[in-house]
Amino acid sequence: MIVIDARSAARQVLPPALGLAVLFGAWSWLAASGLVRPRMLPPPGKVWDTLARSLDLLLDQAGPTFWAAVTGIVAAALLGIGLGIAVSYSRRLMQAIYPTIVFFQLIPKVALAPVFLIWFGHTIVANIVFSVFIAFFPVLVATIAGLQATPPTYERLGQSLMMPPLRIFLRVKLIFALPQIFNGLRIGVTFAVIGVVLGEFITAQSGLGYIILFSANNFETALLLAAIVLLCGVGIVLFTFFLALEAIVLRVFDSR
Amino acid sequence: MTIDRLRAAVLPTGFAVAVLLFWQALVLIFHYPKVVLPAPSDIFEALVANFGTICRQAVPTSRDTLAGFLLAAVLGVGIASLLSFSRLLRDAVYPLVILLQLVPKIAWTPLFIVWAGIGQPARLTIATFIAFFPIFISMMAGLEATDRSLVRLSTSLTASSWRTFWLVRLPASMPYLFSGLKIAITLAVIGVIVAEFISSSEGLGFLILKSSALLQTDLILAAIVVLCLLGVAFYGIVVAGERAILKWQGE
Amino acid sequence: MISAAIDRLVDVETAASPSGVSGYVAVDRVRKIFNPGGRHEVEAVAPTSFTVTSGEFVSLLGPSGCGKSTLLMMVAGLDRPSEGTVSVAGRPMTAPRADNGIMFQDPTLLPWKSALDNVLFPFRAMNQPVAPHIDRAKALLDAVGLAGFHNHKPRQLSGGMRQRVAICRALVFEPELLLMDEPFSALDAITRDEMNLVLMKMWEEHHRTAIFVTHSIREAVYLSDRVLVMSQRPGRVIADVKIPFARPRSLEIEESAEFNDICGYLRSKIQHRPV
Repeated sequence: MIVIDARSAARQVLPPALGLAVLFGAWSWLAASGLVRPRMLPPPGKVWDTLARSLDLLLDQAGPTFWAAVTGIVAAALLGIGLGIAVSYSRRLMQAIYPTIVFFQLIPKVALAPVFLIWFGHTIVANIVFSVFIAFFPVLVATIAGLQATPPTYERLGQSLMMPPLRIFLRVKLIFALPQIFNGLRIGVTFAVIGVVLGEFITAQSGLGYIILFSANNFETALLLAAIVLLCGVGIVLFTFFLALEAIVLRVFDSR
Repeated sequence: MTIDRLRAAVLPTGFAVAVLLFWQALVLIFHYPKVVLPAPSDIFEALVANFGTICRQAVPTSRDTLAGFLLAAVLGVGIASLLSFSRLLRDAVYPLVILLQLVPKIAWTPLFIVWAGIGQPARLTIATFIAFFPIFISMMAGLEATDRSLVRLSTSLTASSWRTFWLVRLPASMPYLFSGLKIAITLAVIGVIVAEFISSSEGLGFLILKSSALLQTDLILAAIVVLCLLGVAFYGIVVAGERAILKWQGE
Repeated sequence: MISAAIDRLVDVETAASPSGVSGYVAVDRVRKIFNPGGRHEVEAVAPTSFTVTSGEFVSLLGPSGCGKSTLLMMVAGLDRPSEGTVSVAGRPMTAPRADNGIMFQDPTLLPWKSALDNVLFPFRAMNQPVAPHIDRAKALLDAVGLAGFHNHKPRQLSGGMRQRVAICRALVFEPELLLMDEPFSALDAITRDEMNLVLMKMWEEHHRTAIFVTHSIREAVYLSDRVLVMSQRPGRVIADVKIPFARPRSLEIEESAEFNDICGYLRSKIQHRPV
């Protein structure tokens, strides 16, 4: 059994709880004060009511968003890690391609969303492909960076033990790259969700992004906030899944 | 040595040129419709033909991006600095910001349009909002990562907490700050573009979405070329600032 | 084994606990407990007392983790005793004071400032004008052998050079009390000998009251007028040993039989072996 030090627990929990209380207090006060029109800022209670009342509708729309994001990050992970390994395997290839990758990291890729619309129509496929496109780069860059992170002595150790290069790659370099790859996956997850939501903004067919935009256009701010809350849920579920995966994999490969 | 350096310059350029040539050849051989895949030459033509329009639309996009970025920098650095003076305030606010950070921030854009209306204030707010988080979080990390022995030294010399901040914590957090600023400037561009997508009658995002409705893929990509150049230029400005500060700090 | 020199040593265990202590630095029944009442309660310093008279160089010698640094931080006013009092110049120490110069285990230089600016840092920290002290700071840097390095950044200096800068910084505002927390423990043996010489030279010139924390027996004996031996955690002073060598001291005294006898005696004290 774990004994929790009551004082340190209190120190960790109380201040954020206080902050949260102040935030909600200010929100309620502002909504009730009449300074802001209720259509602009509904009180927290109204958002909660809307969430409860429209839960069926919202969950219906959360489905496509969630699965598109899952497909997006999984495909982006496979592509990003695969290509990262391929590129890292040859120094020349890496020298040739890496600057282009960095360039793509810098440019605002969201601007390309309409092109995906033209290619894939106003469908969920466009959302998914765009999500893959956006989530792919952080995974790729992290994989490449991770594969360069092996301390040189380990590689020399492998060579001195006459391990074939492929084995050194799989047994040493890839393992050392794992923390960075997971780092990239974590960024990739948030990017995948962003890609899907942005796609839904533009295709305007279904999904939480569509609900958010729809309620904004109709000044249904309570529904908008409820959809954001649910979208938060989608993001947190995906993020937590990858954190758990990271914890498990890193534990397997950590001899501590 | 020189051959290595030559190779480092030639290989990536060669790769980029090869991709463009491949693209051009692909279009020439398979005769893709211009709507689906315009050739690089088509994009270049569209760029030349619409250069005036694109430049005119680039002005509001650049203005909102830079203004939003600067506002985010002031707010991010300011609030992080303020929180570094009070443990309680920090513990109360910081976890909330991290929680808020988990929401895809793009999702908030329609809300800002509800609040600030369709127009420049909304776009500015969105760019600021989206650029704020990396700046705030990295500044916070920098202030907290300050070598504790440096802070202790300053305390032992009876420096006030304000002087310790000014002489030690602030300069020590510069590398962190700039890593946040570099992320923030790319995000500010994204924020403005998304805002222009959703509701706007000006800016490169508006031009891109309008061209997409008119199926002018070549014009979309021409606008994106200019947008990329702008994005890289803004990033370059931040990197130059970083170099200057780090050089002044430690050579 | 035991030379006659040991007879001249005074042992604190036999002496009565000094109550109503007086001296430039007076540590009176000081005790330090971390996380009192918590799950990780640790007694770092057991109730202990000692005094340091004005102008004296005293070392706190003990095994690592014995609380000697904690004790020093309490003298510096950077840490507060759980029980007992620390007073310096007759006033209780409750917060850092401007008459303490301090050196830490690492040089603690601002990486973005030149050597000269680092030496001048105390004036900036105390919000005083810097200009009147520039000449003095330069003279100090020259005295520790850093002429020509005034404008170098810490990154461009070796470990020993950085600690020389730290010595100058501790002395530049002419503090009454010099507090040093294992300042040379991160240096290699040869550099360490050099640094001991530099420190000796500077101390003999400026002659401040000094407390020096170390786990090196030879270093403590070479530098000090008195060595206070501390026990394992919870640390307390278990021996107070006078070092008889005349000043100025050269490194050659380390070769003498007397020096080695004192070292042997101190080692036995640290290891709780009967003499």
